[in-house]
Amino acid sequence: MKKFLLSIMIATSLTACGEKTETPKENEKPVVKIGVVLPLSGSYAATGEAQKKAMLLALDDNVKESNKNKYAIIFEDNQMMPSKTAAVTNKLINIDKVDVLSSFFSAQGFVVAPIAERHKVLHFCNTWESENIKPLGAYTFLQGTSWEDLYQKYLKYFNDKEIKKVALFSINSGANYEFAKGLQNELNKNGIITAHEDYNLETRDFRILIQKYKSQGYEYFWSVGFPPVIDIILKQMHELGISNSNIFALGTEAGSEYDLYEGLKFYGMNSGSSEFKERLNAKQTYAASVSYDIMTLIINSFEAVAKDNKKPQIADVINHIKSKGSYDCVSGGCKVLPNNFIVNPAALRKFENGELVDIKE
Amino acid sequence: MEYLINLAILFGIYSMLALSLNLVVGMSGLVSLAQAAFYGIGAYATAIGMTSLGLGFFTTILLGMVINALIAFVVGKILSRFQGDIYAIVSAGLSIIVFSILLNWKSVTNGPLGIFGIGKPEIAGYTFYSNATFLLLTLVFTIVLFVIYHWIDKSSFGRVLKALREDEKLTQSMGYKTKYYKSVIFVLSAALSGIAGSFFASYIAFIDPSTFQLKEGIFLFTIIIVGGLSSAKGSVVGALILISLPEILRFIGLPYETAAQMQQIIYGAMLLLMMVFKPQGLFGKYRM
Repeated sequence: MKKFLLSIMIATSLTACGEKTETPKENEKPVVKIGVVLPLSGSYAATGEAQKKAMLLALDDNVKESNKNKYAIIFEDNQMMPSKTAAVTNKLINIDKVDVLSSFFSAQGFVVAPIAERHKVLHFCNTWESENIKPLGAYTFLQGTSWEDLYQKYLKYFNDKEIKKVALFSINSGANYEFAKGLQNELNKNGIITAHEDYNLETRDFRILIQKYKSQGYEYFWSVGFPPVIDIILKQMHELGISNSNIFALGTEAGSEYDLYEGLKFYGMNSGSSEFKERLNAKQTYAASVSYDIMTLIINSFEAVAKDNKKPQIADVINHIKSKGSYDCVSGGCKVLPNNFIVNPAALRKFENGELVDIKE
Repeated sequence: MEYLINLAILFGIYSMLALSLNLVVGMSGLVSLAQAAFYGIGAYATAIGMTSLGLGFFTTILLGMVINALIAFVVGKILSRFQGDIYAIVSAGLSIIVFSILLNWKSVTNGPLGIFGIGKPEIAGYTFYSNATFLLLTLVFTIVLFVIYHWIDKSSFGRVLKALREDEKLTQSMGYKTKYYKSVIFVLSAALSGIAGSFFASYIAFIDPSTFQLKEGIFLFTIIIVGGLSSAKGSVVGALILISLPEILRFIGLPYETAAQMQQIIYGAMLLLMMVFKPQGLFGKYRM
C-alpha cells in the first residue's frame, strides 16, 4: 500500500514538474486560458455551479469564428477554503499557465490577488464588497453592486413612504455586517431612527429581538443573510404579525420555502433579464449575472487589443479596461472605478409567484 | 515547480499541526478537538501583530505561543479532570468558543471580514518573499517540531504519557500526578500548533475565522489517524497524503461537469480503503 501511494505521488510530481508549452503554429489563433476558482463541492456548491453555468453561457455567446483569439476555461474546485484556493491558484498559474483568473467571494479573492500580482496574471473577483475598498493590486479587478447606490435607493424608498424607524438585522458573515452598518449610518444621517442587530449563522430564535423592536414602534424590518436562517427570520416575523409589505430581505435570493417570500421586495444585484435566467436554467442565480459579465468583459477586452496573431499583453488588456471605463452588462451598466472596482447598479427586486423578478422603478 | 513548492509549504504547515496534535492524542491518548482553536490563535497573533502592531514575524510566533500556552494552561486545568468522550466534547467546546471570539471581537480581529496583507518573515533585512525560501523556513520549523516530538517520545516524560494513555488509574497508583502530565502536554501541544498558525497566516496573507472552525480540528484528527497515532513519521506521512491526494485527483482527467464531485467521492473512498487495510494508520503504534 505504501509503495503504491508513493509511486502515485512520484508520478504526479513528475507530471506537475513538466512544463506545458504550447507553440501555436503559424496562422493559428493564440489561446487565452482562463482559470476559474469556484466552490464546486461542499456548502457553497450550488453557488459555484451557478457561476460555472453563467461563465460557460458567456463563452458560448461571445466566442465566434471571427474572434482573433481562442478561449479555454479551466474550472477548479476550492471548497471555499483558503488553503485550497492557494493550491488551485498556483496550479492554474504554474501548471495550466492561465492568462486570467476568476474567483468568487472576496474571502477567496483576497487569497488569489497576491498570487496573481506576483505572477502578473489578470484576476477578476465576483464580490460583495464596498466599491470604496482599497485596490488589491494592479492586476486585480473586483466586480459587484454599488453599496452607495443601494444606500441611496433604500433611503429614497423609506423617505417616499415616510418611514421613520427601521430595524436592521445582519448576518455576521463576510461583508454583510459592514454593509448593514453603512446603511445604518446613511439612514441616521438623514433623520431615520435605526437599530442594528447582527447574528451568527447558527442563531435560530429571533422572536425576542423582533418583538422588542415591534413594541418600540419600528415600522420596517430590514434583514440581510442566507438561507436557511433568512427563512427562519421571515417565519418568525410573520408569526409576530409583520407582513412582507413591511420587510426588506436581502440575501441569496430565497431559501426553499418560496411562499414565505411572496410579495417581498429588496434592493440588490440586478440578476439580468428573465431571458438570461431562462437560458441559465436556474431558479436561483446567486449573482451569476456578474460572472457572466466578467467572462464577457475578459473576451471582449482580449479581442479589442489583439493584433498580428499574437496573444495580447496583459498590461494592454488592463489599460483597455480602465480606459474604456464603462460597459453594457447583463447586471446593468457597469463602470470601472479608479480603484479597479467594476461597479454595477442596484435593482429593485420582488418575489412574485415563486420567482424573483426585477422591477423597473 | 512553483505548484509543488506551494503544496510542500502546506504539507509543512499541516505536518507541524499533526505533530503537535499527536503529542496529545497519540502519545497521551487524549482525544482533543481543540487544535483548530490554537492554530487560529497563532494565525491571528501573527496577522494582528504584523499588520497592526508592526511586529516581526518571529516575534509574533513567540507571541502566539505564549498566548496559546496561557489559554491552554487555564483550559488544561479543566480538561485534565476528564478523559475519553468527555475530554473530546470539552475540547470541541473550546474550539467553538475561540471561533466565536474570532468572529465577533470585531475591534481586534476584524470579525468576518478577516485580515489581509499579512507580510512575510524577515531576518536581518532579508525577506522570505519567494515561495522557495518560505518553504525552506517552513521545513526548518517542521524538522524542529519533529525533533521535539521524537525527544519527548524517547524521554521518561514520554513514557509516563504512554502509561497514562494505556491505563490512567494504574499510572496514578504508581504515584504519578497524571493531571500534571496531561496539563503539560496540552500546553506544549497548543504552543507548537501556534507556530503552524503563524506560518499559515504569513503564507496565505489573508485569514478569516472560517478557516479555524471545529471541522479543521476534525481534518487534523484525520491526518493523524491515517498516518498513525503516536508516530512522528505517521504525522508527517498523514499530512503528505491528505494534502497531496486531493491535488493528485485534479490530474486524473474526469469530465469537467462532475469533476469536483467525483474527486470528493474518490478521495473519500481512498481514505475508507486505507482504514480498511490499515485501521491503525500507516505507521500507527496503537489503535484508539
